[in-house]
Amino acid sequence: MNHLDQLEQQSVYIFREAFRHFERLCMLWSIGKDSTVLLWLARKAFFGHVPFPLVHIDTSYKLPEMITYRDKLALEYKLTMIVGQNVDAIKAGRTFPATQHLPEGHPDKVSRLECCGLLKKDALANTLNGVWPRQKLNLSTGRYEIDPDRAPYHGVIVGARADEEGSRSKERYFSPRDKNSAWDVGEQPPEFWNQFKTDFAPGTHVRIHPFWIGRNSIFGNTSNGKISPRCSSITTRDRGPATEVWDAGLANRPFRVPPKMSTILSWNLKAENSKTSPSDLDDCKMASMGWKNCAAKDM
Amino acid sequence: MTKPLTASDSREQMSIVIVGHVDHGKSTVVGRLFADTGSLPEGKLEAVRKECARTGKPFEYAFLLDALTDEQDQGITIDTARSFFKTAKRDYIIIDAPGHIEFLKNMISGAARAEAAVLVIDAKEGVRENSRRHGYLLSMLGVRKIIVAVNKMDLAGRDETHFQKIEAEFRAFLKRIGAPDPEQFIPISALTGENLALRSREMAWYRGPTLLEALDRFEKAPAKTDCPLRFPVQAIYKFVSEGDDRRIVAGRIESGRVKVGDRVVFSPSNKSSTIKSIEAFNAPSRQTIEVGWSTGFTLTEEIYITRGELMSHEAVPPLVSTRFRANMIWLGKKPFEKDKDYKLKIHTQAVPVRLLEIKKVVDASDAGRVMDRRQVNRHDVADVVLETRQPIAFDDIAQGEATARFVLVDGYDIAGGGIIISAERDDQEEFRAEARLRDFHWIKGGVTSEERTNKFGHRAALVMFVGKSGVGKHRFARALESSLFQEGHASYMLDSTNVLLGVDSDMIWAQSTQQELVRRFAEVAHLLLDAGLLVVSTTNAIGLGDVAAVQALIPDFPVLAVEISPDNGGLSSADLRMTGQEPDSDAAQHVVSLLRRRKIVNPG
Repeated sequence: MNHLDQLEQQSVYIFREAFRHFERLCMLWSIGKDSTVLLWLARKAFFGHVPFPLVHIDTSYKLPEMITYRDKLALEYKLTMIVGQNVDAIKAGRTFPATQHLPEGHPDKVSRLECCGLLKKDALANTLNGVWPRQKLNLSTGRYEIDPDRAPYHGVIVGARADEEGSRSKERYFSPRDKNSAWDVGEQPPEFWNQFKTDFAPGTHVRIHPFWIGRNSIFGNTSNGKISPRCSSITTRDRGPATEVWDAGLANRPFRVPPKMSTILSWNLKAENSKTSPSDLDDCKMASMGWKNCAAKDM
Repeated sequence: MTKPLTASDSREQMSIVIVGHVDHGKSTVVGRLFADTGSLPEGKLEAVRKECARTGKPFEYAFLLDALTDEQDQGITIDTARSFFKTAKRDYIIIDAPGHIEFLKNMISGAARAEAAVLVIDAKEGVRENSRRHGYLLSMLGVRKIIVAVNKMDLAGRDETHFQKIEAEFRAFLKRIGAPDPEQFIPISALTGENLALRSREMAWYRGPTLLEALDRFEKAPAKTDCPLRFPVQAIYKFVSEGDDRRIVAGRIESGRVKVGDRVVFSPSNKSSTIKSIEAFNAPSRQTIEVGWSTGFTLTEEIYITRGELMSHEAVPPLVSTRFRANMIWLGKKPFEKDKDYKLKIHTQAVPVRLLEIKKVVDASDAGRVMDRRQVNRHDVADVVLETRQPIAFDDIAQGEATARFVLVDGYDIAGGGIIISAERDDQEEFRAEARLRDFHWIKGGVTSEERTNKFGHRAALVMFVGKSGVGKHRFARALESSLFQEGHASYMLDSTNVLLGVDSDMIWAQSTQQELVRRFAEVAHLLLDAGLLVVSTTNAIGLGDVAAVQALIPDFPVLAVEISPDNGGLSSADLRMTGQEPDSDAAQHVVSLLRRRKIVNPG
C-alpha cells in the first residue's frame, strides 16, 4: 500500500463515518478538481453509489462547460444533484464588475468581495439551511425542478485540504460550526486516533473534511507558484486569470509536486481571508483568485 | 490496486510530533529543521524576515509556522500545524504540537497520529510540568519512538554536566511512571542551529547523532499484516433502490489479512459466515486483502450483524467483556465520576459506560506522584476499571492498537481517552465462554436465519418481562404473545415454570443451583430463537438480576428487558418500563412499538 492508497483509505473511512452519523448529509461540489476527486472517493466509499445529495452553488458566472460537465456527470453517476443560487442578486444585477460604473457610495454598487459574499457565501448558507429554494436535477428528464425537500443539511462534506492555507490545517475531520457558521479555532474538539467527535447538539452544523489528513500529495501543492497540470484556473489563487479549464476526469495518473510548506505562503493572504471569512466552498477560492475569472462571461 | 507512481510518491514518509513545555522552543526547532534541510520555498525565509523587519519584530524561526492570526496574537501555537521537511532518507510530516496546558487536547490530537516524537526541554528551565505530562502521554498514546532534545544549550553554557543532569532526571521520571525509555537525548540549540542538521563544534563532548540523524535512524513500524485479523464492522450497505442487491459488510481492516473462502466470526454476537467476495469500486477483483484497507465483503450466508462487531478468524477471536482495566486521560471540564453514564467509543462500537473503580490517579505534572482520588479531574492521568452496559469486543493494548484504544464522551464532547490494559472478570464470564464455544461449533440446518426472517417477516428476539411477583408480568406476556400472533408473527410464550417442570426436574430448587437454572432457561430460549421465534418470557423463577446472565448466553439475538414495577424500578438496563396498571392491550402495544423501533418486526 503506497501513501496515496493510505490517504484514500482514510478518506473512505471518513465518508462512511459521516454517512453513519448525519441523517441530513450533503456534499459540496464546485466541479473543481478537489471536490470532483471527493466525488470519486465517495463512489469508492459506497461501492459505486453516492447516497447523499451533491450541492452546487451556481453564481451564473461559471464557464458553461462546467455546468455541462456537472450535469453530464450527475446523469451518468445518478447523483442527487442540488443547485442553489442567489437569484435576487443576479436578477437585480448586484454583481461585480457589472456595477462598477455606478458612483462611489451608490447602494447597488458592489465590490468584488461583496459580490462573492452575495453569490457564494449567502447562496451557500441559504441553500444549506433550506431558506432559499433548491433546484434538483430530475434524472429521467435531465431538467432541474424545485426540490420539495427544504429541510436543512446538518452535515456538509467539503473538499478542503489541510495544505491549502494555514488556517485549514487547523481543521478537524469533523469541524462543528455554530449557527453563524463561525468557527472557534481555539475550541476545536480533540481527535484521538480514529475516534472523531460525532456527537453534536441538535441543529449543530458540521463540516466534514475527508481530505483533512493534510499531506498535500493527492493534488500536489498549487500554492508554490507552479501551475498544476489540470484545473489550474480553479485552483491557483492570487495569480492571473483563468486561461484554461481542463476536464477533471480522473482516469489519468495522479500527479504530484514535491510538498512545500504552504502555511508560510498563506502569510500574504491572511489579511484578505480575515475579511471574507471564507467558506470551505471551493468556489470561494475564485474570490481571491482575481475578478477576471468572474468577469469571463461578461467579455 | 495499482497506480502509476512518480518518483516522489515512492518516498517514505514519517509523521513526527514535536512536544514539550511552553516556550521551550518547539516552533524554533521546527523552523530550523525547515531552513536547514532546504525545505522552504524559495524566497520565503526572506519574506518572513522582511515582514518581521516591517513590523519591528525580531526575526524568529518560530514565525515560519505561525500561520494563524489568532495564534500570532497570543504568541503561542494553538493547534497542530502540519508541515513537511525532507532528508535524503524520507519526508517528515511535522505536527507542531502546542505546549500550553489549555491546548492539551490539541497536543493529543496531534500526537495520537504521530509515528515518532521529539520532546523538547529547555536546558535552562529544565524538566517542567508539561515535559513530564507529554512524556507520559506519548507513552499512553502509543508513540514508542522518542527523542529528547535538550534545547537552548547556548544559554546553558553548552555544559555537558548540565545536560547529563537533565537526562538523568527525565529518564528517572519516565522509568517511575513505566513509560518506555527514549531512544536518544541530544543537546541542541535551535536558535544557532547546533546538532539539528549540523553537528555542533562547540559541543564536541557530545558524540551521539544529530537530531536529523537520530530521526533517520528510526525504522517504520512493520505493517500489521501478520497479526490476527481485526475488522470492525463500520456499516452494512445494501443499495437496493439503485438496483444493487449486494449486501456489503463495510469497514477497515485494522490488522491481519483475510481471503475469499475464509470462515470468519463476529464478536460479541458469535455469528459466523464465510467470505464470498471482496468488494471494491472500479478496481480489479481480488482474492485477499490486508491491514489498512477500507473495504467491504459479501458473505456466503447472510447473517444479521450490526456496526460495532469485530470480525476475526475463529482461532484468534478478540476479548469480550463488560469490564476492563484502562489507562486514560481526562480532558473534560467536569470531572469523570462514578455512578454517571458516559459513552464509550472503541473502534466502531459506541456503548454506555460507567467508571467502576479508580485504581490510581497519576499526577503527571508532579513527577508521577500517585494520588488517592474519588474522581478523575481535568488533565489527570488515571488507572481505572470501566464497565459497559453491554458486552463489547476489544483487545488489550499488548495485542491490538485500534481495538484497544477508546474515547469517552460526556454529553456531546470527547472528554477523555485511553488504552485497555486487560479485560477484567465480570459475573458473566463463564456463560460467555460457554456461548462462544457453543456458537462457534453450532451445526447449522439447511434453512438459514435470513430465510426464516424473510418467511416470518420478523427477526427472532427474546422479550423478558421482569419484576416482582404479582405485578402482572404473566398477564402482559400472554397479551403480547397473542397480539404478535394475531399480527401474523411467530410468537411463543416461555414461562420459566415450564422449564423448571421439565428440563430442571432433576434439580433441587435451591440457591446454589440458581446459576444452573438460569443457564438451562437461556439455552432453551436459545433453541427457540434459533428456530426464528419471537419468544416472550416471564421469569419469576430466575429473578431480576439475571437478565445480564441470559444476555451473556444469548449474544446472537436481541434480548429485551421489560421491567414491570409500580415504583421506578431498579434495573438500569431495562429497555422498557411499565407500572403494571396499564390495560393488557396497551402494554402489548408498547412492546410491539419497541420491537418496531429496534427493527425486529417490520417498522412499517
